[in-house]
Amino acid sequence: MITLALLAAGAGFYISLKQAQQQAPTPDIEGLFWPSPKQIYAFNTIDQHGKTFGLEQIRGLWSLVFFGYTHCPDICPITMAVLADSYQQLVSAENPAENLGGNRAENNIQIIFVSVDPERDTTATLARYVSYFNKNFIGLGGTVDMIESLTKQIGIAYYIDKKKTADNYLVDHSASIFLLDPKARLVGKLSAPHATKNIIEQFTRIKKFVNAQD
Amino acid sequence: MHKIKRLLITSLLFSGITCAAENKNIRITDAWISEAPPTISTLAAYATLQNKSGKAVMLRSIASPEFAHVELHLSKIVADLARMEKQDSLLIPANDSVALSPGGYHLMLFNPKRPLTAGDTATIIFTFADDTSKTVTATVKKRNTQAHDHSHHQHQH
Ligand SMILES: [Cu+2]
Repeated sequence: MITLALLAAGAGFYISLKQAQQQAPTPDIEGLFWPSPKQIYAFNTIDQHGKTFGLEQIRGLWSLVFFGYTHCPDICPITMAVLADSYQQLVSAENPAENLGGNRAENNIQIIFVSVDPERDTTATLARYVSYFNKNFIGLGGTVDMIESLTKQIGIAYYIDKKKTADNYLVDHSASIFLLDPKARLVGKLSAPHATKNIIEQFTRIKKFVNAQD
Repeated sequence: MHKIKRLLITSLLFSGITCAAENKNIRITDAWISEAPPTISTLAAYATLQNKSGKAVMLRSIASPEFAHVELHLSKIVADLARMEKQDSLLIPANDSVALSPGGYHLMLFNPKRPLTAGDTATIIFTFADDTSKTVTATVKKRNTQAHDHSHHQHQH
């Protein structure tokens, strides 16, 4: 009798465990968008070399995307410096034999700065800006419509100061770093304030989790 | 000899007229300017302002001969939106200090008169509500990512 009860209890436990596994709850990973991460569709921006940059350029790679403007002297360069540091560490961890900064396909990660200030951030300005932080960084810009083909999909807002005078105006922008996976899905968001250690930990956890799902 | 003396007195008088009296109660330390990527014409500067007196001191304006224009700003992140707000003044409480640091209060240095890179210096003049002022030399430095790594401080309550 006791054995039967134990068996029944055991079976019950086993069933509930099985159910728990099937309806796998979202794991406790900060910033992870799971289940049903947002699929990113075609978008059309211009990179710092004047080339078209769209969906094809994010497929197959992990992308860390930050939205800002080059005339921002505090939050943006702080974030870019932390991203440069994180990128170097992530790349050297993945390719210990490679020298820092190997090409983008080798290290599987790309860092993208998207300008939300199309008036001042020309292709030439973006090129000098992103390469100051790392020669492999990508700087995206274009017309307002081009920029919004990406910002609207990621769901970020930005506000250009309406009272702007001459060329000294401010732009409010998202402080987060967005994470796109190689299938062009928005799988995570890293919130400010940013620190190298946190970016590496969160990115590594999210990447490991997403890779284990498909 | 007399000529030299007179010249000295004249120059002393002259400097007394042109410059505001120095504020002896405010100590400004760690003044530095963050090097900006090439062609970027807006730079940020940081410093610590310490008030050694028993009376609050109000910072009213900032200027630099190396820049066209200087403003005091506060960076804020509210609901994931980063923004900068121009500040008209800054109160330094009695026997206390205020840090201008990355991600918080900072000086906005607009349109440098010549390109500035790490190792260069610039003069920054802080003027207070009582018309006294303090002049410091700030060195241009590259950003150190460890300096604003808040992770070490988070658990020290
Ligand atoms: Cu500012």
